Amino acid sequence: MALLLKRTKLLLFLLLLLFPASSLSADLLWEFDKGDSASGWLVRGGESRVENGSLVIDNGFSPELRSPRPLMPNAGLDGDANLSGLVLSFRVKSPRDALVEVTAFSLDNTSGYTKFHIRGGGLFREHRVYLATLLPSHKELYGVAIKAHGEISGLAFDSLRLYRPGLAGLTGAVWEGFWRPDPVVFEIINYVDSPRFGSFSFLTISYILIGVVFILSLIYFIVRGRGLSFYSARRPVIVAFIILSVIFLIRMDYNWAVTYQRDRRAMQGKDVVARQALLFGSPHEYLFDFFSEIKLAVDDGARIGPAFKSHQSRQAKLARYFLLPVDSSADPEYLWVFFDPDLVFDKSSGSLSSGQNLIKGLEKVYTYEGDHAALYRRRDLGRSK
Amino acid sequence: MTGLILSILIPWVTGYLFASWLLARDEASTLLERLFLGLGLGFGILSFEIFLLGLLGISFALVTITVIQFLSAIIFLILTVRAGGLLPKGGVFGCGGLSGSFAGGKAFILIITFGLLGLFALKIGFVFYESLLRPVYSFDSWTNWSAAAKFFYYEGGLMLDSSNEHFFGSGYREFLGHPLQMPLLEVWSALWVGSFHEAYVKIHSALYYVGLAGVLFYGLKRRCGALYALLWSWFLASLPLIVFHATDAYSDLALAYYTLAGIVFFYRFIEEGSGAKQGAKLLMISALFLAMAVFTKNEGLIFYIAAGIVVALFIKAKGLSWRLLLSYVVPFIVIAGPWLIFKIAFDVGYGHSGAGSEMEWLSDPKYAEGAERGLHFEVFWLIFKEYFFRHGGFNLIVPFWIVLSVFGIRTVVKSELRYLYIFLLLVIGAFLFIYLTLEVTAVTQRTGLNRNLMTYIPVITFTSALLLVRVWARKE
Repeated sequence: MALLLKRTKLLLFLLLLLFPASSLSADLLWEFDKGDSASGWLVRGGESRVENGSLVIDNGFSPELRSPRPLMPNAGLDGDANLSGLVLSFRVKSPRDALVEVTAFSLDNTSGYTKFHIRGGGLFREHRVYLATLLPSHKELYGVAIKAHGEISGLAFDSLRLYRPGLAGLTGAVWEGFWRPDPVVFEIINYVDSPRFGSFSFLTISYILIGVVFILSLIYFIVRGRGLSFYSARRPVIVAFIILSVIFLIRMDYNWAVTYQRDRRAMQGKDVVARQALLFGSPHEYLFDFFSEIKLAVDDGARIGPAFKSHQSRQAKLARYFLLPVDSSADPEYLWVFFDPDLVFDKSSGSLSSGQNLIKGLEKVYTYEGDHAALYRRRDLGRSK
Repeated sequence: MTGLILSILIPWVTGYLFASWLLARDEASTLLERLFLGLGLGFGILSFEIFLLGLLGISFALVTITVIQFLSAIIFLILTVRAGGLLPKGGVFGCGGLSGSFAGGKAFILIITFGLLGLFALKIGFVFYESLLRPVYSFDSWTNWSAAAKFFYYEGGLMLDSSNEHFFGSGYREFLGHPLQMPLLEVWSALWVGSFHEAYVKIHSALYYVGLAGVLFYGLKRRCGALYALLWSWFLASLPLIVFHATDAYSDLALAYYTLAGIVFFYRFIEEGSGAKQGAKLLMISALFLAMAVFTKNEGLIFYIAAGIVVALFIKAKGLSWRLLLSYVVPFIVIAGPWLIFKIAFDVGYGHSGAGSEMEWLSDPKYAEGAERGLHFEVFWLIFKEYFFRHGGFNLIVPFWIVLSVFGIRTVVKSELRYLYIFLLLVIGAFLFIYLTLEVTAVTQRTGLNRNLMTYIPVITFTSALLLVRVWARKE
């Protein structure tokens, strides 16, 4: 019994090391149940309204919900604003599966984010993010933002809450964060971040545990009269490595299982262009569609290029790849423009401008989504197709 | 889909026959092992042949390449039959069938074995599903590799007219100096599918993934038993970054495959190669895989040279004939030679410095504008943090290997394992040198750092598995 108590205490001690205690206990809660007030939250990239106690975002193009700033001093959370023990919880309902990015901003102008998918459907679901997984826990919070990638309408937030839960609540949030599947996005070709357990990566936790196993093994062998032998501790250490590796493996395989389910739901049965757009995410939803359309509008053997974008821009590189077999050239007959807010085209003079840049002698041969994107052709080439 | 399957089977059969010829007199060689090795050999031979066609200015027509593949298969078939090696002497799986290989017949062992095989099947199923569902989508995959493939496919050749705006893919390819193995495999798939299908063309990554696990399995099974080998293969196949790469179109997984296969045979040479004829054969197979690695990615040169240094050290230490080195050099000249001569002749370079791919020593232009030229020692701390605290792509294998090496240092020094360690230290040293002098951003921007490690993580896994058996069993 005494041994059990000692072990429990040790466990609690370790937990305290993982989640440094904080003196704060007050909550910040936004429930959007007071008329049409968004309670200081700002919506970018979409139209917001308050309806039935929810903040709803319509016609959103990668909409972002930004908290009042500076969040902590104004909002009344007592004490300092460091991230230790601080959890952001939000109940959200999305008409479709969506990739969500939660960002924490600190007073010293740094930020950290996490991305995860939320399930679509008619139910509100709660998500909790332990903010010290995004930024070092000693940093002071300035604000938070929640962004939903892609085109979305009817995204509803029922409530948002910023609070410091007790040990059990914090452990729950950390546990949820540990198992939260990482979206498989294009950056992952270079790295896969270790899952985090509170402020620490799983790797760090593993070293602590393996170190403990090593020390306990040494103590055990000394107590048993075998003397201090590092080599004797090899088997317990190896076993600890194996157990932790299996836990890690289960966690990562769970990620793949979720990825499989999500990809099957989102992409199976769709054509390649649609799948490509989904995977590249915002703002590429229309880009691939646009490319596949303008390919058809170009004369055989003609060359194409961006009107104002640098040939080294990512969009221009994407265009070169996806417009094949149409020849992309530095000296093209066809010019494309994709969602340029400064674009002005004077049909009579055939001049196309964007800010200080001007190209003359063009005719528009294809428009996409209400003139936001278009294909132009040099007039000296004759009539368009 | 039929076209895609044929695009896989044709080079695979050719590679299988090639492997059968190489391993004709190997008593322990099994059908499955030859299939795993034949996969890489077949794809390597295929891309090499397409490259030669491109050099000769012959159009990449499906019929032409397929005929050459059939001719290659017939030649390897004749050689294999003459060597008496068409039917593997080791059976299908080894040890007289699958259940026999997990000897003992104990229910527990069988449950673990079939449990692992079930998990393997799930993982492989997942990889193939994702590979065929997801189009090429990571930025680096299409700019570095698929852009070349798509351009060559529509061009019908390598476009070697230096006066053309798109010489060798200029304007489409980020770096002209990147080797062509994966792009040419994508061209081949596209030819069989009938269009450049953004998902289907990258099926090779999933196949290399299976091959990688298979090569590790047979590399370990010969020494440590089937169940142990299966456990490690499953572990390797579960490493997250490897699984991810298996579903996309990057070249690092293929490089990892060739490196591991080369090192498995290199280690067999170290263990069994004192007999001149057997040694020469094993060394030749090792060099063949490592030469294919050079045609897969520029980093392949590091592995070939590092292994070459160790081979020389081994020959000197054992007092063997220096003529053995010929077996290591000739495959390299044949397979990698044309590509390297092409690189020099057309000045397409190696580095990441810009359109010309030239290298700028002590200056990484992507690091920061006006960044001081010099050695960037800050990379050491960043590498340490990345490998040991931040990156989860390799589970705990790196710290495990280090801890195990500390426990087993005496075993390593006294056994043939020391040659694997020399190889690994040379490779690690070479990469550190590159990060310090050329590719600082590979570390600071987390671009190449983990991918580079992934290319020799299978060798670290192989080494760890071999050492673990000894450390676990050895008394102080």
